[in-house]
Amino acid sequence: MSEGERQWIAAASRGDQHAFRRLVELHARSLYPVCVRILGDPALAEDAVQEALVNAHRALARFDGRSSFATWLHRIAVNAALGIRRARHGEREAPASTDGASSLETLADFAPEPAELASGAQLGSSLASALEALTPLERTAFVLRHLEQYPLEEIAHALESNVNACKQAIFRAVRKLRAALAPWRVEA
Amino acid sequence: MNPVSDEDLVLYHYRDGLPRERLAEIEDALFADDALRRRYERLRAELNAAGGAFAVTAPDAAFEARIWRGVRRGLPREPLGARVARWLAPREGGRLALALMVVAALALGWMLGRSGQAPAPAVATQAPLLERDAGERVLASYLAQHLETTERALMIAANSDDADGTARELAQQLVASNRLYASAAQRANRPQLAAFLRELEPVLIELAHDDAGVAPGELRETIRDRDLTFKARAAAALARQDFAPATQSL
Repeated sequence: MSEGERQWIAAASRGDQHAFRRLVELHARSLYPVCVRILGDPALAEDAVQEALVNAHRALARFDGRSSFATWLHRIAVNAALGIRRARHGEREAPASTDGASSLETLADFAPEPAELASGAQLGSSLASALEALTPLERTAFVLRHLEQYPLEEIAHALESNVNACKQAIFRAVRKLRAALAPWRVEA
Repeated sequence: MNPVSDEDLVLYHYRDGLPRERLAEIEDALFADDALRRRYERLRAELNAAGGAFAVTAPDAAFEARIWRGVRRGLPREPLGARVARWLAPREGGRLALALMVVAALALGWMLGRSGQAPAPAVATQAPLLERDAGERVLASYLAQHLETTERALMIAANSDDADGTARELAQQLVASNRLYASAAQRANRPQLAAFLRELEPVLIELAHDDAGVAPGELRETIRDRDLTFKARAAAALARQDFAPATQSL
């Protein structure tokens, strides 16, 4: 954290909106990807970034500098995105079934037709379909664990769930995504 | 050892969610078992490919401006003290303008100061602000105009919702020159006028930065409670009166 950023944080916590604007301009862009990944929608992701920054402004006095400001903001952005996701999909999601039959049916949905395997470009399309089929819980748990490197404990806390449920959500997400990749698999 | 499932390999990959002993078992098994190692390598490759599916297109260049507009609507009103402090703080790019203002203030103060040291006329209760040479009359005229415009801005802010932002725009024009005149008045040994202009400064700053275009109740009360509109009118009239004879004689 630069000295300038430290000064902006101090000024913003005293109510200086000009200083807070500097912080917004410095960090807003870096908050966007995680919000898009969680929400899967650029417009909603922008809403989440805005909400996160307003929430951060309210909480500035509680920023203690133990983590970097960017890390602190990132956590707030994840929470904002999760809040929007909950508002759209209901407060709590019913855990998806994890029995074998259900998983196999789900996997069958992703099996591409032979004609679809013509080019590598279709890999992207197949993965996009797989992403669409992830439940919000599966998507978020996978994004937080795989892309954002959150520990399971923290994911469980963020999702107001428990570690085991988060593990299962990640396993289901991985199975679906791997199934989409299966046609391109080259056996060693 | 228990067989290593794909779920075990996923957790091993993240080094998360498995007891330390189980992690060590899987590590040993990967070293000893080629088939397991191939399974793990395939899992890693597929996880990496799946992660690529979450690639995000960077937002456009107007992103930050758009975000700020949204954020700003959600912020509480900025405290007056913060605005004043920011306004008073020298800013990059504004330093030349500030330096020019200081020079102008010193020059004006010197000119006014000459008259401030002059003996008062016997019939006057207060010394004329300026000698009646042409340059000083111009400066005095500016001061009177400044005070009249200030009165107008205050009157609008105190008595209307300023829906078209007139008071805000006037205040934006007045803030910098107000400080100049305050400095000049101080140098001219007119402490009451200087004090009044200094009293106006935070109010003008507040009005100038009132982006909502509506003077808040607190500001309206300040204007009314301190009779700022009346004081501005009186000070403008005094300035006009001081220089009217000379103006008429032109």
